[in-house]
Amino acid sequence: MPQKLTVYPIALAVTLTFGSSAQAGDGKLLGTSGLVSIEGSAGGGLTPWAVLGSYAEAEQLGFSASVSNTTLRDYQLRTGALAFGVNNRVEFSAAQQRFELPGNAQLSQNVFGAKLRVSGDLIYGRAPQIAITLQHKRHQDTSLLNSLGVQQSTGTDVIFSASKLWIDGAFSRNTLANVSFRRSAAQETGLLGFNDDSKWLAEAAVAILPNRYWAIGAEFRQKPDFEGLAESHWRDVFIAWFPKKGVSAALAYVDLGTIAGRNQQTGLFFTLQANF
Amino acid sequence: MGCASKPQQDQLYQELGAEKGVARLVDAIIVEIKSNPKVMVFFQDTNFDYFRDRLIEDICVRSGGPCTYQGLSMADAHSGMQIRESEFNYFVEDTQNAMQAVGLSTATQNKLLALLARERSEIIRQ
Repeated sequence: MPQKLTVYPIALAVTLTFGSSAQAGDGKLLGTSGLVSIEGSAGGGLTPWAVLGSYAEAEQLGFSASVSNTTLRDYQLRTGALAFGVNNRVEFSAAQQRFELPGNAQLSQNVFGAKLRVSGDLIYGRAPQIAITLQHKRHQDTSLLNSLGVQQSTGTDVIFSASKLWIDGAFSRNTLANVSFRRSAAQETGLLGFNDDSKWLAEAAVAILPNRYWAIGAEFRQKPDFEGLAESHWRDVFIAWFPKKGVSAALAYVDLGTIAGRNQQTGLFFTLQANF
Repeated sequence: MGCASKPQQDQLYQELGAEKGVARLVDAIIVEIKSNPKVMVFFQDTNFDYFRDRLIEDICVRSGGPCTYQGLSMADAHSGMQIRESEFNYFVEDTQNAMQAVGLSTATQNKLLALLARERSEIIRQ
């Protein structure tokens, strides 16, 4: 039976409604809000970065709503996310993920995120922007997880990220790099529950902006090697479009390797985002 | 004589179109400022002829051109204005629009923006 989705339709409706409207927090430069990752935190598509969601600068509030769809050979992941940025200092996010498995089964996980910019600025000054992100993950319905032999359906990831955008970077184009270290017990990012053990995992992303409105890049996300569950590291290449601050979209080719015994999980990730 | 393998010191100045190009750019920036209420609020008492000459000098000097900046230091010029981070960015956007309007390449735009970005700490919250 399909599980109830609450964030997804809200996020979709808000994205479509506010995608072209005026902005409250619009003090950051175009593109510097990043995208909304599959876990709801601002960043790339598969990895959160030190950037904060929305275009809220100091003394501003900003909101963002987004939807994403990742279609793989045997699985599909749909997410809806809402985020709230305060003073370019804090980001709160709520994401709902629906993971559709072969045979009409599905898992649904909520991710509640909080990110604090600890120091630095993405663009200005020499130091990178450094942020700490918490992602509390919780499955909506544990029956399928339990039937798969997974006991734990909640977990909290802690992520330390550093991001820098060089205005006059490679080829005199805006060039961005992010490195993150994540402490996590999540199996397949929590979609397949949580382990008793925790691991340190590394994530990295690079992007280059051919002009103000476009970014192309690549991401890598290390995955844990918990006993009995072979996870592949995740990779993607993406192209993102920022026509204006109110709306952005991205398309990625993703290679998620083997998921729950099914190999060659490659496919397309698409996201649409509104900021207001 | 400069070494052939090194970029010339005034390379960016030349990319901007030297004296004429920088003047055209500054005129375009002023057009953008005047049409942007969020930035114009800081220019209510500005003598734009004076501002134009100083900004031309500033861009000329920073891009390696043969000029002397005759204005106040950035901190003094913005003293008491309490320019916020967001408002600095609105000015950056005006500059981006102006650079686009006068047809500068993305590479040249980014080289100049990177130089202007270094002034931010002396401009905001003064």
